[in-house]
Amino acid sequence: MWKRLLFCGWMLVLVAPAWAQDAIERDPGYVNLDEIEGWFSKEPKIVVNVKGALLNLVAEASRYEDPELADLLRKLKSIQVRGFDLRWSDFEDVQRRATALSRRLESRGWDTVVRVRDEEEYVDIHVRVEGGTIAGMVVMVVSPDEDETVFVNIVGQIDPEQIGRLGRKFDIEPLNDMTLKRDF
Amino acid sequence: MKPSNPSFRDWMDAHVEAYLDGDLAVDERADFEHGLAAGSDWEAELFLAGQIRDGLRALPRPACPPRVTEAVLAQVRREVHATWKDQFRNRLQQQLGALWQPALAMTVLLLLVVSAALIGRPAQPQDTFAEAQVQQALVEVQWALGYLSEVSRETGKVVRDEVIADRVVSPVQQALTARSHRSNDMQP
Amino acid sequence: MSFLESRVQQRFAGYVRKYQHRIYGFAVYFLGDRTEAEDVAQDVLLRLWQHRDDIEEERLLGWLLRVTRNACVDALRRRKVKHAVMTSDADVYGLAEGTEPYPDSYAEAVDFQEHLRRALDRIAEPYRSIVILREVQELKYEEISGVLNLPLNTVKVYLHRGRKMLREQLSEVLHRETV
Repeated sequence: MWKRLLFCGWMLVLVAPAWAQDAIERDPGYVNLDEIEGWFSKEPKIVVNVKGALLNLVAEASRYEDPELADLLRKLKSIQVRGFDLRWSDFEDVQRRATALSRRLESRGWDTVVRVRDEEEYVDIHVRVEGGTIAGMVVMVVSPDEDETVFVNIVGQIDPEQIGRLGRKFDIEPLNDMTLKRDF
Repeated sequence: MKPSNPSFRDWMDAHVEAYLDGDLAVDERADFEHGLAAGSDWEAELFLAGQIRDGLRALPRPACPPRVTEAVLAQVRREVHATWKDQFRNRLQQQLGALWQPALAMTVLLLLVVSAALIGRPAQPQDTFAEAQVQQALVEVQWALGYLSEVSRETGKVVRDEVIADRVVSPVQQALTARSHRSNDMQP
Repeated sequence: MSFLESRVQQRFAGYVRKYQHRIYGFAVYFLGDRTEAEDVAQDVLLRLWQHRDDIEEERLLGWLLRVTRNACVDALRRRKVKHAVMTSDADVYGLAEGTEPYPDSYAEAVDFQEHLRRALDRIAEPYRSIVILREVQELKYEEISGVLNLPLNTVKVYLHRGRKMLREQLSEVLHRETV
């Protein structure tokens, strides 16, 4: 009996750091985008995983040059992006899986605020509202005509107007030619 | 309409195939045959259209090379085999798990000795990032925000008005937003 | 290997035998290139394996042809990146006209069928697909409507238009040869 108690106690001590690291994953606004990688036969072209300490450092880094960006980033906990090339032959399959994901989010209390469906494009934007503020946002864009599929999850205290206003400053056209994947 | 009328010629040209397939309505068929009677050009076109249709139907049906199907079936066999191996491995691990508990308990006891030396040492957070990593992360964050802004613009929705207004209306937040817009408008 | 798994594989192998030539044949006439058609056929059949539990048997042919056509469209788009291309007005997807010669064609034998194949390679989507599905693969209008998700009347109109485009091309070619 004492062996089992001691065993449980020490296991708790050993896993405590890991527990802290998984806190963001227990946030209601968080959606794990890793599962989406399994929908595609190729690796993602764009991978963004900025959270926790790194996000704080990015906020600090932009404090002088862009105080409003720093302010926005301090209120966030995590930014995830996955971008894939999309072929027309994969469109129906990816669309079906994205629809299933949307339904799962809705069943977990997410609101769908934008839904675009046509022959060539599929866009969903979901938000998670907690205590009167937006605690999470998921954006899914499936557009084979643009060779583009992008999934975004932001966690934290989100002000969509602020994001929209700040985002306008950043020209993503040149960045579209890049493959955003950190190697380190 | 006269057969020589350019519009009628266009009409005839557009209906050659439909006439050949018997897809014209009765009156259209009569008009077409009237056009046929007026000139031999249309008979030649009709003949060519018939040759094309017959030629298409006579095109050979290429056979799929055996190497294609062999490659597919080989890939399927590999996947099935890999799945079977994974399932077997999982079952084996479950069954042997119970047998390994005493060994695991011994391992944990050893870890107690090691972790006694580590207790009190603060956990090392992942907050040592190189400057290049931070700059790269900044680029990524800017891209993400730029992308979100573009998507929002294109779909033409303001999320906040659709969601928050119905739940919590904050006069203070609205006043701050209006002031922020005015200061942005004043910036060059 | 369990008895159940082998049954699934056997059924899949049966579907492969049944539909392989149709898939490959469509891709050959759509792309005008047998090597690319082989790649498309392999890709489509592997997708069938991945989706084997999602498709009812009565919808299988339509699904296969739709996936094959989409895979051919993707192949043409990749080809467009490599070659300088011209696009036609009716080109819904911005596809290239075929630029590859029919690889194992009878290069020296200039006969009607050869002209027809080359002309087919030059007409735009969706006319090319519809002509192949109707005249070469002998699908009914309703089946083509299901494959391409087009209304029935549109399929008929597009079929006639596609064959008219072939007639225009062949008329020009044959006229040149006569002269």
